[in-house]
Amino acid sequence: MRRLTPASFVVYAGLVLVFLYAPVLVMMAMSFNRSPLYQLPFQFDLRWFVALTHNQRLLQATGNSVLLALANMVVATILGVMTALALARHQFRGKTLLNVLLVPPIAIPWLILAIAMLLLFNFVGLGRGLPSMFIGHVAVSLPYAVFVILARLSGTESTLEEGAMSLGAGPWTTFFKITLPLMLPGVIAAALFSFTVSFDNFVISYFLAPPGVSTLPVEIYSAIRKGFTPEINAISTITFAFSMLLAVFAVRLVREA
Amino acid sequence: MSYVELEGVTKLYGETRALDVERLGIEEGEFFALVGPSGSGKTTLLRLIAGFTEPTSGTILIAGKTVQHLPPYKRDIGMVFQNYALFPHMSVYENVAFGLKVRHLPQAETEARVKELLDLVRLPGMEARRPQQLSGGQQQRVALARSLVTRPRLLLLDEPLGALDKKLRTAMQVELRQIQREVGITTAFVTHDQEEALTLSDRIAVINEGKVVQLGPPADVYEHPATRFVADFLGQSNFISGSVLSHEAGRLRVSTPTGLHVFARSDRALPANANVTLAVRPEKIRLSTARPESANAFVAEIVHIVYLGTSITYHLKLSEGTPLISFDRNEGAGHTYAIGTRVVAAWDEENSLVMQD
Repeated sequence: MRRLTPASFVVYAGLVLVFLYAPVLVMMAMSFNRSPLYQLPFQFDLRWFVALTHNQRLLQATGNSVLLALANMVVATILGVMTALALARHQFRGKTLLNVLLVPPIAIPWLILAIAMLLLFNFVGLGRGLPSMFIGHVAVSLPYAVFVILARLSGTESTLEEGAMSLGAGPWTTFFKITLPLMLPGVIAAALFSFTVSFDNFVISYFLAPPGVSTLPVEIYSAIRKGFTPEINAISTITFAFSMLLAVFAVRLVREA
Repeated sequence: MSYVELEGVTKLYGETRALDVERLGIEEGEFFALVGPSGSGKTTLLRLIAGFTEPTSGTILIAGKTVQHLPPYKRDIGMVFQNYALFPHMSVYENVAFGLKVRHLPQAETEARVKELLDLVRLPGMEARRPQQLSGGQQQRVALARSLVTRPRLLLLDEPLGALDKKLRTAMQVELRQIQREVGITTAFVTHDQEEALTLSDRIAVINEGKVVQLGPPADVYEHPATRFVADFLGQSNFISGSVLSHEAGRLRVSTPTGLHVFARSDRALPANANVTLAVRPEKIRLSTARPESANAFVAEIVHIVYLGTSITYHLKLSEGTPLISFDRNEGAGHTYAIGTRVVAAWDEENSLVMQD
């Protein structure tokens, strides 16, 4: 491979970063701008953040997003741990099939998954609603959780668990004292990934949300349709900062794994 | 009644018969070696005794109790794995104390026992270290301490010295045996290194293709290998095949296709013209320039020499063509032969071992 000269690397990386972050930075900057019509000159003001506190719709939607994401995080992570353990440490019929079935939610566009879920839930009588949204979120988060934990588990040997058993530790003791501590970075990364996947999820929430229930991404979309103020920017800035923190944290944990 | 007993134990993986042991007993307090080539089933056997797998059929008894359905954590065992399986997220102290913590032993006694074991394996003061900070030999000793701290009555070792270099391995062999004698624990030891098995054990079981081929004290099994496989696996052997010419008063005379007449001793009834294979250990063959008294004395030419420091291996070719290998002590430059020298290769008839297959 040819080495990139420092100059060309800086230029290239710089362009990529600009392309990625320029819109976001503009969006964030405008949340601190006084004008409701996004007009310059720039006047620093926190009024939109203050206005947020009175915006029931937005706050409720954010609350739903957080609750859904937390619930999703807990369930997807637990299921992810169980699935990853089964795949890494045990032989069973249908193992290959399970491996294969975990891939589609990552590969198939969420739009198609969302439509399919909507049809299925209507057919089954569940319809739209928070439970449906919850199931949908777990379904798309689970593969990510499994693969992150599996990557971590594959790096540790099963002889450690055998060693614990030879010393008198039963399956639960072995799990909590040996297996779990060793795969903890993977578990935490899986938790953070699944939180993010759920919190940022637009398509599935949009399709499965009933009238009157909203999540933050859906609410922002509606607002853009109906008319909005920089309150949208304010909540987006908060969301973005929060997601960035989570993502950075998760990546560092996965790298440690 | 042996401390560990296997009766009619088989282990099948699909169609493959990984293990088929009719009877095997390990006596209390003995150091028992399971030796065989890779894939022979020796590790499978050990894991069956440990409880990591269940036999397809048969019974396994430890201290008279049927255990084949019991998981490892319900058997009173200590085990050292080939890669030591030390817990990387715990200190040396926590590793060694693990078995005691699981048994809810009080803090004071745990501390005392851990210290006792670390002293036993000659690693005092290492409590705070992490396994990753230790050398291979030190890790091995921690693994041993960890397995003994719960005072199990059976110790299982799965090629524990395999990852060490030769010098360290030899030193650890001595230490391991000393510790085992001091503690007096029944020990089953798996290795593919036949030399190690011969050095350490009270009794050896030679395993090949899932079956116990021969069992007995090391000297017995080495000096009286039952089959060609054992003669070849333990130490080295020269194999000479031929047919029986005569068998009188225990003295066997065998004729090879190339016309070599070799003498052996055998108590078994062997009819004339029966096909036999004789095994002659290289260390039993003496080389000299003068013709000695032995019944087996053949003129040979030295075709190759391997210098091993403590000994010299001579590759010989007898005048009628049979190749032989002989080991000689290295007694100095004045006592070695050069390539091309004609010598007489001789051995006693007792040292021509008759193979059963």
